[in-house]
Amino acid sequence: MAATRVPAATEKSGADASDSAALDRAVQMLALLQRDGRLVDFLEEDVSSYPDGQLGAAVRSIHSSCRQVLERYIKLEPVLSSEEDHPVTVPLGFDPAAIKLIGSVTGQPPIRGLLRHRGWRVSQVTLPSLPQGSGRAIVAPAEVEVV
Amino acid sequence: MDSEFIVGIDLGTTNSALAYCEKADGLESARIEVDGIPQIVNPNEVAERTLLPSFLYIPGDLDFPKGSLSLPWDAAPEFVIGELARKRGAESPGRLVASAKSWLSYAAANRTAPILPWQAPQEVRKLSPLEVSSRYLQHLRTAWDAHHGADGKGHSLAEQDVLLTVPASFDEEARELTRRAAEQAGLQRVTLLEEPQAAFYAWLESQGDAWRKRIKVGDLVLVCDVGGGTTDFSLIALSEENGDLALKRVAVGEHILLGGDNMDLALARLLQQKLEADSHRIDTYQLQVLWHHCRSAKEHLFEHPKTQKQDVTLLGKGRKLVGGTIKTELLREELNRVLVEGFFPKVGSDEMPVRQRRIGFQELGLPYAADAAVTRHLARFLSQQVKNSPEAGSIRRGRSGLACPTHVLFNGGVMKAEVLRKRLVEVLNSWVTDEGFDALGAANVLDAPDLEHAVARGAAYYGRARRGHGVRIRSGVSRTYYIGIESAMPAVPGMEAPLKALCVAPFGMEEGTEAVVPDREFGLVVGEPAEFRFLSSTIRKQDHVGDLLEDWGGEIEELSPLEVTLTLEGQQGSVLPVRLESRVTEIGTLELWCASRDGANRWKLELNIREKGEA
Repeated sequence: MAATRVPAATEKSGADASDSAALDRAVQMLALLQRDGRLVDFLEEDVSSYPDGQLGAAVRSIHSSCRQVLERYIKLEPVLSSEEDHPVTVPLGFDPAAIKLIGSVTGQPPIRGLLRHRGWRVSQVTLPSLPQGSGRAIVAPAEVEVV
Repeated sequence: MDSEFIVGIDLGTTNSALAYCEKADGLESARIEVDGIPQIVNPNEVAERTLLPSFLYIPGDLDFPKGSLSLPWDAAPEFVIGELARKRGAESPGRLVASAKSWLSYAAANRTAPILPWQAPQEVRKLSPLEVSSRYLQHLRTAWDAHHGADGKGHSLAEQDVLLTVPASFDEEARELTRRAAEQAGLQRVTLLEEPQAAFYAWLESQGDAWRKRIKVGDLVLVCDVGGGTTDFSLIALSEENGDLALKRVAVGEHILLGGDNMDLALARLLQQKLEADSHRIDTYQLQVLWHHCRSAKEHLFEHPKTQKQDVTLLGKGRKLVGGTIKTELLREELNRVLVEGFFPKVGSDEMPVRQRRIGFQELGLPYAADAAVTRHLARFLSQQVKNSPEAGSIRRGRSGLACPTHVLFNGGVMKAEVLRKRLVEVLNSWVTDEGFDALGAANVLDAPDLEHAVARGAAYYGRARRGHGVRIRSGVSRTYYIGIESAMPAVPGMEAPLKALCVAPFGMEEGTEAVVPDREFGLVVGEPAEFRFLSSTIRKQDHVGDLLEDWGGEIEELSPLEVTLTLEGQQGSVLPVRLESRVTEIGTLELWCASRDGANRWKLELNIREKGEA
């Protein structure tokens, strides 16, 4: 897939409009994680020189607030809910996008194996309305204090 | 015509709430719901919350992107009300109206003049405390109508019975202004109810039937309401009017501007000092964040009594998020020192709130309390303010004249913390025992769950009560009772004569009352063994004494029959015409009296109807 620049506030029609809407939602997701959790500030900072203790303290705070963002706007659930490292059965007709087989990938389903990662699936999406116009490219507004 | 819903509205200083119930059967089964209130919580984001923060923000051209404030019922509202107003107000305080309710009760202010936001810059549009209060009510009304429908079916809020609460300390003008605010918001059918009474009704609701064991006529309840920004004390005496529980507010204190916000700020200042001692600078915005973290840390420590400290982390500003991160901790010892000892110190009942020596020039504004000790304000209330009450003579008082309540009811978000409730009761008990009365035990502390919505719930409950029979002092039977009457029909081989059910005790019939089955006589079998069949129903609640039913489907169930021989001298196996009378006794039995036509003879059948688990 070729990289596309996010368009500025222009009217698009048909397929273009829905691509644009999808990109806008991606930006919105980042914007929510930044507004309530400061995730983008965190990822964009060079943390190589900081001691673990300081980094850890900041991470705890960001972790807690970003979790709340997911809880409120994009609820997730595991694809397979068994305990990790426990046996599971992959059924006939399984969706390879949802379940990835590793190891000795032979034979026909149903296949017995050990669960190594539960996977993540979206269970509920409740996003606010998109901002109008140029707001769609903004992950976080600049802040200017008027003195 | 009775409205479809009964609505309780708590127009709080910091948060407002709305609760309602539907008109239907009996008070004891009233299901009271707290309504979700849609409000704008972030630009472009509307969400429902059970509380509407009582904050109004006046946006200018520079504040928000166009179209980002739209509500389902208004694409471009002039003001922001609720959660976003509060958030944005923290960033831009000059355009925020807070505590409008405290202004509404402040006699020294011109309450109908556009004075809020207080001391805002010239260019900011201003509103009067009256108008702000009206706008909150308007928001609640529009939200309700959007949810329940204003479609002519009688569901709009303007058509419902609305109980609107006010602090007991509101003077006549503040109450009148509250009514006007409601009228301006389009609500005409509004009754004012005092908050401490609403809190008491919320407690009643939470108890189900068990409240009658906890309190009785003659008790004196201290209502102690400590919220985000205010503290209110009142005394309620419990009496009886025609068998209904009657609440009488016999004393009220001032509306004290002291509350949870002060406490959180005190903690934030403490942590600020600790951080600055470590050479960290904290600016005003970071103090706000610190304030917010302190509230969370405080709640965590209150909820987990074994934890000794809670970390508080302030992330760095701008690009140096990790680089500027500073960490400190709130120790339990500090929490207790600042909150418990600072705001609820153990004091004597004669210690009055300090009035600091006044500086000659004062900034004009709300009269915030100079003394942060809630317990000293309580001492003043019980010793001095009670004396000025018109009911002073009827209040139970000790040797020194201190009013001594028999019970305490807590209200307001701050009183969710158990350690603060315990401390207040401890201090109160030290006074009460000094005055020669018994200390208040755990049973004397009335705890309603859901302190944040209690006042709204209680208001709805009261509205329901006064529509029906009020809150009855004595319990009523929880089922409808019937006696089986054999029909007078020609015999059919192999078939029992059909049984009819005669209602002898309607649902809700009170203990200690009697009812006569009107007009009819029935045949009573005397002189030989007979089966007396009792039946009851939990479904049929509208039947009256004397209703004779032939068909009842599954709605009535039969109880174990009484087999008994009623005797009358000289009579063996006769059927005598009698009139019937029922009586529900205070010890939980149903008596059915059968009186002969000449009045010379009476027989009694008795049935134990107390439910399992009752005393």
